[in-house]
Amino acid sequence: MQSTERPQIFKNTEISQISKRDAVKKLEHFLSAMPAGQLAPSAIRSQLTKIKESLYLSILTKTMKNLYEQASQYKSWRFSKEGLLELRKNVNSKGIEAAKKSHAMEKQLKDELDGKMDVDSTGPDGQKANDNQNKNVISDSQFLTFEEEQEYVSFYETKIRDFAKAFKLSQKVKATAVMYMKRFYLHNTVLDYQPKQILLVCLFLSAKAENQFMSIEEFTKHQSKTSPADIIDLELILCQSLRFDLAVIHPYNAAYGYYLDLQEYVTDFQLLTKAHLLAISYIDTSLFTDVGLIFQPSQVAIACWKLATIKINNSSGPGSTSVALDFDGYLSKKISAKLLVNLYLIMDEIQQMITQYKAPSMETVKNIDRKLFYCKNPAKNSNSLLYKKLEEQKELAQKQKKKKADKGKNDDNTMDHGSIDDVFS
Amino acid sequence: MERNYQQLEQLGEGTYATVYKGKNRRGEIVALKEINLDPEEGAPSTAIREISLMKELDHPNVIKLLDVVHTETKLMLVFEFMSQDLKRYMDTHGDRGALDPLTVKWFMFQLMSGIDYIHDFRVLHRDLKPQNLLINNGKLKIGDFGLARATGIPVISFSNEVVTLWYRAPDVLLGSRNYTTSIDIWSAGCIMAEMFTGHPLFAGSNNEDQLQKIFRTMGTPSEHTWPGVSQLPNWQDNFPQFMPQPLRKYVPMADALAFDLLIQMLQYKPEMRISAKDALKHPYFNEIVASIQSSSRPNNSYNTSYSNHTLPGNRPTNL
Repeated sequence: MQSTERPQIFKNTEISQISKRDAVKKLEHFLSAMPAGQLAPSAIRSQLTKIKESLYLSILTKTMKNLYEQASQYKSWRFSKEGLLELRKNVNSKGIEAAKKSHAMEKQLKDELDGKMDVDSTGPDGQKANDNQNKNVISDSQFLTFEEEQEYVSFYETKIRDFAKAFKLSQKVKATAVMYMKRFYLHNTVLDYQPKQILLVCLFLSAKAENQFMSIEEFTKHQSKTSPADIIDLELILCQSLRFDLAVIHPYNAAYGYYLDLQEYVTDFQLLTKAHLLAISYIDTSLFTDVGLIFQPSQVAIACWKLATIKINNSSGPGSTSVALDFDGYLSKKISAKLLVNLYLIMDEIQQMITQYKAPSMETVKNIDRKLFYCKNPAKNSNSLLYKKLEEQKELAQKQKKKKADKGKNDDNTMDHGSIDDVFS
Repeated sequence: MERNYQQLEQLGEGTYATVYKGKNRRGEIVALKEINLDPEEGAPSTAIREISLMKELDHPNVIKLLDVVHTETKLMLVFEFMSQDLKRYMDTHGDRGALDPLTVKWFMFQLMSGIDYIHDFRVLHRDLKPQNLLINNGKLKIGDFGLARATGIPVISFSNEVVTLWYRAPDVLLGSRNYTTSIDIWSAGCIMAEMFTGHPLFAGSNNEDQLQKIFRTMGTPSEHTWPGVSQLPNWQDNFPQFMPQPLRKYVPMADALAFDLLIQMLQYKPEMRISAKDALKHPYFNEIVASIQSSSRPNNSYNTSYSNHTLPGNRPTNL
């Protein structure tokens, strides 16, 4: 490989083993030891400049490789499969706990109301109310399981796709909204917040974040059950649950990068374009799975390319021995064998999650919907007595606070609502 | 509810918000950027985009977003506090606004590092000016990303204040919509010249006047000097014709290396302007790079090494 006239100070492997700084010293030493008048071999010179440059840049700026690791997606929104399961179970059980309490309180309020109307039975009624408090109004089996919650949310994630299409919102707005929805329900329960509302809020916020703003009027025009006020009320709750991490990175860009890069290896441009479109459709499906919460966007992109090429090669006709689109060959040229072993393990897992994805059936969703009607948390339901009472209390507290603030005006002006960290503490 | 911020005096008006000095629970001084929520549309999309962006950025030369809090009517962005902006720094520390060459070099190095970082993120700042560069203990940080990632560059700010055009690239002034990272480089060049001289390089009063100020110094561009320029929306065939003047005479205090870099930043053709990454490799900064390298230990990235670094040599004592 190396031509003989070039002096060999380093073998390629050696450079990666010793530090760049030492490499520069060694090269400079070599150059200074050259007899006067003799030009240093240009190979050495360019090698020296190259190393110096990379040394220089690694000092000056963080390299591109580190950029993704700085992203909030990498730092705060990456989970293991087990971790996700744990989170969802936890949200579910805490949600049920809170809903049970609210149901008991709601029942008590109802009884009080009934009691007021029925003057004769004041005495024994008070007794009854206490009895009810000790009994669960709704039994455990009437609440949603965490699997049901996940299925229910998953169904409405696919609705985001339909809405995005109807509103002519971009691929990015859609993908970001789906991710917002997934992240939101890692910290909130369906019992408290209805996915059919949250999905609209996710879309509304993601349109703002991705620079495709849409007026709220336009947005709710065709929504009979959701008013602009509903969306605005929930917007900050959503932001807070997302910890204000609003930037989401998707696999589409990485997939496009592979498309460009592959053009050097694949001559059939039409076939390659077909494969790219297929890869995009696999990414579209991947949005509804958990891969975006577990793997990096570039890993998902590569797995989707792999799926696309498998499909293309399979359809190139039975019995054909040659591979139409040799993606594995491309990968082995790009990535060292050692790294490739690990990458294939990751890709397999992603490919499996994508191919196994099945949208929840209408039947399942209807059943969950029926259950939810009875078990959802009355404290978050504007038709309940408890909700009205809580609202009254909130208003009263605000009035008192205002009075206090007016008294001590110019004293100090504090903001003490909803810090991002409060959500998680 | 224990985490709260106390609001102190007003510091200024940003593009779409009011900024206050504040104190956190631990008594540390912070900057509070207060944004009113729109009862019709909720959180303003400019605020949403600024939060979305600033939560991701983490670099010693970019202002850090520490927290976001909200009430029912307001959003508050909590930033690290910086004692003053470059404009005020020049007014108070400079010789009639002009800074000494070594300080200029340090500030330019930090500015270009910050710009390089955000450009790596595919983010344009779009509104670099001395008022948006914050200074604290010799450190410079880029602030106010209110216009970054916006769709257009407005002429009127949220508070109906006219946005300054002095640092705006000629391609933007001529109405180009396909501008790139090079617009920030033009701004940085204008800022560099201003640090040397103490007064803005091109101080136009409106779009047309701004263009004319640039033309007077750099010559009126033509299809010959800038292919495609006559296709830009705001181009007029009857622009007054000026001959290019030697830029050198406007910044006589810049040494040859400084001037070479400056010229590479202030190019008419956007694609001819030097990138931030290449600017950092310009020999003008050799001195700084050498001092960073000598002071950095292995495995120690430059941010820690140079943020603790005081200006070498004959630095001004009040820095």
